[in-house]
Amino acid sequence: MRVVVADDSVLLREGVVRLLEENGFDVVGQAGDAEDLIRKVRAHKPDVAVVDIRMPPTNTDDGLRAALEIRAELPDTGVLVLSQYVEEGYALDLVGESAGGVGYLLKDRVADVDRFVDSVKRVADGGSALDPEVVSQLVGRARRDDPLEELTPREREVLELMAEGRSNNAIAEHMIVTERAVEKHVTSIFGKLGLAPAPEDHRRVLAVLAFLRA
Amino acid sequence: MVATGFAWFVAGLSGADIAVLFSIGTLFGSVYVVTTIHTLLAAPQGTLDRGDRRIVTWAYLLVTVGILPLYLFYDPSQDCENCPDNVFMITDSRTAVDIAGTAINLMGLIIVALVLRSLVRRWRRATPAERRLYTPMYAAGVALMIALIGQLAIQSALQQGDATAVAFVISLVPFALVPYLFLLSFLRARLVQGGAVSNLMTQLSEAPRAGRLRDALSEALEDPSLQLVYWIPERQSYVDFRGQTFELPEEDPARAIHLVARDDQCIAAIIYDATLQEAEAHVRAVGAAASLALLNERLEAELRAKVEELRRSRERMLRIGLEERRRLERDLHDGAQQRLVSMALNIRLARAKLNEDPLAADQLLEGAGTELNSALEELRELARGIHPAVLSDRGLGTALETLASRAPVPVELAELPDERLPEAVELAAYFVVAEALTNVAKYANATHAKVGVARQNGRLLVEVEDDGVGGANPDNGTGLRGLADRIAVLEGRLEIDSEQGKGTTVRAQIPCG
Repeated sequence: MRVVVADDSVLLREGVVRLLEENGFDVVGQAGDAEDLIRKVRAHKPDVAVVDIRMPPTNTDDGLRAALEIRAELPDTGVLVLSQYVEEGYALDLVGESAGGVGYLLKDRVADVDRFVDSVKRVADGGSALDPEVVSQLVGRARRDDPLEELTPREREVLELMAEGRSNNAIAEHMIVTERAVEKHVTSIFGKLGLAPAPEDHRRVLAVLAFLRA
Repeated sequence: MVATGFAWFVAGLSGADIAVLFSIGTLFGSVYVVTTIHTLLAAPQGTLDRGDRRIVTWAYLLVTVGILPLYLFYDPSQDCENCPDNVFMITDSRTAVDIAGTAINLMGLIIVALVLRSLVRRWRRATPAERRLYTPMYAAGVALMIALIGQLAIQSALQQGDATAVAFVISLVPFALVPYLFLLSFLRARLVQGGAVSNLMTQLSEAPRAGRLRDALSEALEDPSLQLVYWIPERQSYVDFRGQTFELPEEDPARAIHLVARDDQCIAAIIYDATLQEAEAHVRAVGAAASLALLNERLEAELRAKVEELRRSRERMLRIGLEERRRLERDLHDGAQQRLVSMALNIRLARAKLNEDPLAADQLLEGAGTELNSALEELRELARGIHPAVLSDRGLGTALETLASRAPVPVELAELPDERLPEAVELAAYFVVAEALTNVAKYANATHAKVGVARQNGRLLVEVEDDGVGGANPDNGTGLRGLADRIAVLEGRLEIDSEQGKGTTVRAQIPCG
């Protein structure tokens, strides 16, 4: 898999590059700012770009804006954005109309190598990877007449893992249950929340997000 | 006084040869004394109070009706040979004349004594300014009364003769002086007033130092208790020249208030001694003369008030800054720092055990990893509290959405601005909502809250409303206080509506150009 890594902190960028290369990725380009990133993505057409949100030139959310530009211009290129902060607003902006090929993770997740590598792969394959913290924020938001109260604790857990962009298989593995059991939970959740079942993982992410942000 | 003149002429008729005129002249020969008393008591305001009116009424009755019995029995031919007949005479009775005469003189004495008492009492009550003005008048009055007492006493004692005539002539001296002394008093009053105003004008033109204006007015009005305060429309309150807030006295009969206006705008209030005679017109004149200077000094007072407020707010900001630093230091020390230390310890231990006990080393490293995650999380929260990154990245709308979603009660976002505002304004608005929502979570016991932010006439209006228990007091605790300062720095205003049991509304207005 071909990757472009963008981060203005050389130390962190080198770390991520080494980590990805050790896990079988082909890092085709490195960028230190947003413009550089777009240039390299256009040139190399990688499967995925791993992007730090805060980068020059303005040191605000340049990385995010570059990511949105890439998504609009090259829909086949996955974008995984890393951030020092969890802002659900950023995540929702980034997902926009489609949860396919997009990820938003806290920067410290890179320390959990296996999960991080898994997330990069998922995004490169057109799936989604949302940080559990973003999801728990969305799920935990105080609501009036909260329909989430209808869900059992088990179902809630499944809902959160679903929103992160994980497949039934991955959810089953994580919860140490059968895939069959996960499917049953998913059907029940969609029924209780009045959502139409979605066949693909990234489509159901969008459905769940749309429900949660409402 | 004019009546006195005519009455005097009537008295002069007693010198006439014609019987009728002579009789009227003699009969009403004392009326002029009463009109003089009337004038004395009515001065300077021109009206009589109740007690004085009674005295004057009795006096008039005495010299017109009361004196009649005397003249019914009086035959003037006994006293002077050339005098014409008394046309009122019924019979000539010397005894009746003596009795009536003594009674009338006694009553006259009583009346004169009462007048004297009234004059003395008034003198005692007079303010120093009044005393200085009306001394000649009072002196004339008192002298006249004493002379009258003397005349009446001698008359009663001797009935008639040279002594009576001498006393009469003596009493004429103060009597004749009365109008002149009156004139002198009034002239002095006018001069003092006019002089005060022109003095004031001179003083005002000499660029008075702060607070000197009050002294100048106090001097001009001869009222040491005079207070001068300025209306500051922006604050809707009065301040003194130092810029300290001042409350006008309410319903205090001893204090009168004159509002000085310029171009239909109230600029100042003069609070003066309500007992000062004729002061109102005088104060008005002085106020009008000084209005330009008042305007100037008001500007100065306003400036002082602002400086004072700034000084206090700066002090509070400084203190809040220090408190925040202390809190940050404590949070860092108790949180992230401790975790990093324990992590360093775990890693070192793990390294030592790496060869002999790899399993234990692995556990230690696992622990270090957990500590590391916690430390990162704490640092993130800390950084957010100092300055929320999303605010500078995305602006108020997105930042408030995040705040709302993190609040433990449902928050309805009614209205949010799309456009970016000056950073300081966005930050202040953000902290208003953050602090208000924190309070909602901590104290309000609310089921939901509503946040609205709108731009209106160059101001950003921020409102956070909850349906909780209310009763929030900004003077308790530093949160709301600090917020008010943050907003005051931007020349904005913070209001808190928190009636017990009726929820709390925090409202901020921040100028945003």
